Amino acid sequence: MSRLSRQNKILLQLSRNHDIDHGNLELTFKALTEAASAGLGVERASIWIFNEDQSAIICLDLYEANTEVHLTGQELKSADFPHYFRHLLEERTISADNAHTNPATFEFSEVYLKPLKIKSMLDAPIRKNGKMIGVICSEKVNRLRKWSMADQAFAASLADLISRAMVAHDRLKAKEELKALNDNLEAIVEQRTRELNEQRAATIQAAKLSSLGEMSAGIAHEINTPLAFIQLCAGQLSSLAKSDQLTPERLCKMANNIEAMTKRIAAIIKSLQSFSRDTANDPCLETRIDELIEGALILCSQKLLNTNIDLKKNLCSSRILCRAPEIQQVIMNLISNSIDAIIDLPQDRWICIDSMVVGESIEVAVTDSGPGIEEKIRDKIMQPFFTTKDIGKGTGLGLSVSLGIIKRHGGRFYLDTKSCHTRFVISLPLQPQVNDQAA
Amino acid sequence: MTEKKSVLVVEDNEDLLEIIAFELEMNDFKVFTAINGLEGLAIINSHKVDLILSDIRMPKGDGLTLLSEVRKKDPTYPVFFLMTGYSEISESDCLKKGAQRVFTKPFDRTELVHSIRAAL
Repeated sequence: MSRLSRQNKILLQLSRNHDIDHGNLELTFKALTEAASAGLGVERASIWIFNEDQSAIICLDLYEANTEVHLTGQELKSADFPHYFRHLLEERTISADNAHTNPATFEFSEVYLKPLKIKSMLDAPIRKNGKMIGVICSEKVNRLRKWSMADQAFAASLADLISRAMVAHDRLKAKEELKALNDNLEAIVEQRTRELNEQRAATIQAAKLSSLGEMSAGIAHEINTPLAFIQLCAGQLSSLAKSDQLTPERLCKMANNIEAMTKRIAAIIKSLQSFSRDTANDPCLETRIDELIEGALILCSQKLLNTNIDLKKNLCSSRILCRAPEIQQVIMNLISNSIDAIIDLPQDRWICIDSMVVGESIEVAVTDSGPGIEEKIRDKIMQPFFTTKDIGKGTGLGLSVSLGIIKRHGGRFYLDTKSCHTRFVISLPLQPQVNDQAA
Repeated sequence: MTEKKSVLVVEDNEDLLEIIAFELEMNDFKVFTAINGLEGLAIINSHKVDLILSDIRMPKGDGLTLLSEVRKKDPTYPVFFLMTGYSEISESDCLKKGAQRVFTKPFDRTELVHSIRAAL
């Protein structure tokens, strides 16, 4: 077989080599140096790539045909071989039939060529993206070799394959980096979402504690009054018994009263417990809407007490799936806002709470006898930190937190601008799609 | 036989009101009851009352309003307050406004009776 047909056969085989297009550089380099050795009939073939500042070339693979060994890592500095590097940078094939005398390669004579008995060298430039990045070097040992045009074309083809492998490698590397970036971005988004959810839960919890603080005087009254009753009753029972004045009728009446009072205290504590705990991760449970509203009213009943505000209720007993303490928080907040808004009205002070089924939703409306909300601030009232209350009175988080809570229940929360009074509407789906991503 | 001393008890929780009244009656007081300040004021205007024992937080006339109304007529009239301890007004403020004694719910009944007796 002629050298030319051998070279063509080798190129055909290489064209089917998957390592090249998969960017597997180490295997590609080995295959190509072996191909150079076989195709050109040389004892040594190697691939050299410039370092970053082009001050040296580094050997990425050297194949020695006699020993069938691959070596890497040798380095040639431009300062040591200035003529060779100048010729390299002209980006043309260096075809040195006699390497000892060729103007590009003579510098290697004593230090490199003679010790290794190299007579002829053929260096084909490797280009990547139009830029020369290195050479594939074929070296004939022991006898001179006259490089034909076909040899040069073959070496150039091998150089192109190296380039192709390196481009593929870069592309795969970029793809992997992009994937890593994407994964990282996903992780960042996930982390941020988690943080936002935590912040949201903390905001709800803070707003709850704030409203609890506001209600605490009333709650203390609600508990201490029945406690006073129980204490007094117990003392009286003891006195009456000692003086033989305790009739069975009186004993029954007092015992019943004590039982009723303890039930009342237990109910208050239960509503406090369920209200104050962090409910962010609670599941939605089926709850009767009228019981839910009554629970909210217990917690703000004392704020209403001294106000001479008339409280009207038209409640339906339908059931909804919800996180009851969160909905109670919204209702309490609305009632509290209503009290603050109408407490100084000279007359006609009332708050009305309605609940009704409208289509597939339950609507809870809190209306007060106030004149409504000024048109110019209607768009702002649901924004965080917007408040019309005096400094130190409102947190400005009430309505924005309420909006967040209702949105997460898949519902709507809005000011009814058609009403001539201030009327807020909570509309909750009877079968909610709870949306934990809503703000 | 000396006439019984009279106490007006003003408290919006009717169960507590009834049992305080019973306690005072057992201790030989004549007792009037009212469930808010307005009712209490009406009783003072129409009956001889020696001492007022009143809750502070009540709908329709709270204890402080009742106190200021009473003070207009008689600056030394004994008024005792019942409070829950977490009201918007402190015990010392109640005393400054002219209350003679403040009891925090729940309170000791013996101490209550003893204080009322001492004030009359």
